[in-house]
Amino acid sequence: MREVKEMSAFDIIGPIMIGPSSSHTAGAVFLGQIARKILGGKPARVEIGLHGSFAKTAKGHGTDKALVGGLLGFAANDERIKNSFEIAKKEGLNYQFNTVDMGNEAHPNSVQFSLFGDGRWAKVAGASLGGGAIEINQVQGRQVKFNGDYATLLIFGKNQPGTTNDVTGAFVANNINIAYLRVERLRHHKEAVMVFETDDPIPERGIKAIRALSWVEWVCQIDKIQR
Amino acid sequence: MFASLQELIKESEKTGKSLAELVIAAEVSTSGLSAEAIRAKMLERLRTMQYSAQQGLDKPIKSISGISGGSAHKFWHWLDGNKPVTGSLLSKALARALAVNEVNAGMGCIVATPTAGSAGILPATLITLQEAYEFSDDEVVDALFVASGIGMVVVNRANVSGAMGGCQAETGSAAAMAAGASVALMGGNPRQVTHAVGITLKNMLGLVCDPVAGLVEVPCVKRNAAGAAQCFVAIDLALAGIESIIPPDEVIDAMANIGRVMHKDLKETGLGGLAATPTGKSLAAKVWRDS
Repeated sequence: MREVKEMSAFDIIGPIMIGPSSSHTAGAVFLGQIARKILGGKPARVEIGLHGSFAKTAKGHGTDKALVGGLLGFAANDERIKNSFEIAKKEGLNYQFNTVDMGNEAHPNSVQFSLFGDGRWAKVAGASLGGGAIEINQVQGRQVKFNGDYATLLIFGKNQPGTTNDVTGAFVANNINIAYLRVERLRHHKEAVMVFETDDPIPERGIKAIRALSWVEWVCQIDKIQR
Repeated sequence: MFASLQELIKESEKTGKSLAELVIAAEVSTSGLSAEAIRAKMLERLRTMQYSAQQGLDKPIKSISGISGGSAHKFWHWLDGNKPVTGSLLSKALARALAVNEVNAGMGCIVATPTAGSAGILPATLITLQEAYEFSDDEVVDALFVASGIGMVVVNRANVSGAMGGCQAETGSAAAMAAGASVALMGGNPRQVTHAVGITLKNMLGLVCDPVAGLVEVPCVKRNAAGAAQCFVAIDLALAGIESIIPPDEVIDAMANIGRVMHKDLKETGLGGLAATPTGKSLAAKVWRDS
C-alpha cells in the first residue's frame, strides 16, 4: 500500500505569501515573529546572525527584509515587508546583520537573533526548513525544539521531582489539550527545560499560576504561526 | 483517495460527485470546517491571484536582486498593437504568468501554487479562461479545488520541489495542475482531466532546476510562461478526447524517478545548467557582492 500523507487543499493552493521563496521569505518572517514574541514586545535593538545559504543569498531573496518584517510583527502576506527596513527605522527598531558560522550541523538556512528592548533581552536561533516550515532550536542559550505549528509554552526552571505534574495541572485546570511535551535536564541535572505544544494557548491566569511555582525561572508562550 | 488519479476517477464515478466536490468533502473531514468556510478560503486565494496578476501587468516590476523584471508589463503593452502568433488567449496567459512571477521576485503578495517559484501558471491559465469564457468566481473556485486534488496526488507519488525533483517537479506539477483544473472548468470529464495532467507532465519531464544565483528569477519567470503554454497544449488535446498512452499516474511516477537520478547540480543548487554559464556566474557574483 502506498503511504498517503494527510494534507490540506491549502497546502497545495497556498500559502498566500510575500515572494520570492517560501523558505527564504515566508519562513524568515515566521522566525522573526517568534523572536519578537520571545522578547515579549517590540525590540529596540536586534543583532541578526545569518548562517549558510541565509548569509549568502539573504539580500537577493529578500530574507533580510523578511526577518525584519517578522521582528516588526508583520504577517507572511503583509506587503509592508518589502519596506520593512524603512518602517523599522521609523519605529525605532535598530537592526544589524552579521555573517555567523553556526557549525556544520546547522541547517543551511539558519539565523540567530540577539534582541534587546524595554530592559529585557532574548537570544533565539532557528532554521527555515522549506515550504514555510521552520524550527526553533535555541532560546536563551538552551537547546529547545519546536516548529510553531501549535501554541507553544516554554518553561525553564530547577530540575526537581513533580515539576511536570505541577505544569500539567495548570493545563488541566484551563482545559487545554497537550499535543506534544518534551522535558530535558541540563547542567548536571540542575535545570529543567520544558516545551509544551498545545492545541489552544493557555490563558494568562494559567501562565501566572505557572510563573508562581517556586521552581520556575522563566516562562514564555508563543502563538501558533498564522499561515 | 489521493494516492492516484485513477482512484479519484473511480470515487467520482462511484459517488456521482465532481472532482471539486470530492476534494471539498475531504477538506471538510480533515479540517472540521464547513464547506462554505472552505470555499470562502479558496475564494480569498483566487482574489490574491487576480490581484497579483494585475499588479504585474499594470507597472514594470523589478526584482529585489535587480537582475530581472519588467517583462510582463512590456509584453502586455506589446500585445496592444500587435497580432501575437500565440493568439489572443495564450498570449494573455503568457503575460499573466510572467506578471505573477515578477510580482513574486519583487517581494509582492502571491499564492504559492504549489510553490512560489511556480506561482504564475495556475492563475495565468484560470484567469485567462475566466475572462474569455465568462466563468463565475464560483466555477473558478471549483477548478482550484480540482488543481489541489491533482497536486495532492503528485505530492503523494512524487514531489513538487525543485530541490528534490528539478523544475519538472515544480513548474511541471504546476502546469499539470493547471491543465487538469482548466479541463474541469471547460466541462471535461474526470478522465479527461487526468489525461490533461498526464500529457502536460509528459511534455515537461526532465526539466532541470538551474536558477542563476539560486534566486527565483532566471529562468523561473519565463519557465512559468512556458508552463502555461504546455498547459494550453494539453487542455485542447484532452478536451478533444486524446489520451496519454502512458497512464497519468505512471507519468507522475516517471517524474519522481527522473528526479531521483537527476544530478544534484541541477536541483536548485545554482551550480549547474544556466547558473553555470559565464553570464549566470557573473550575475551570481554581482548579486553576492552586493549582499
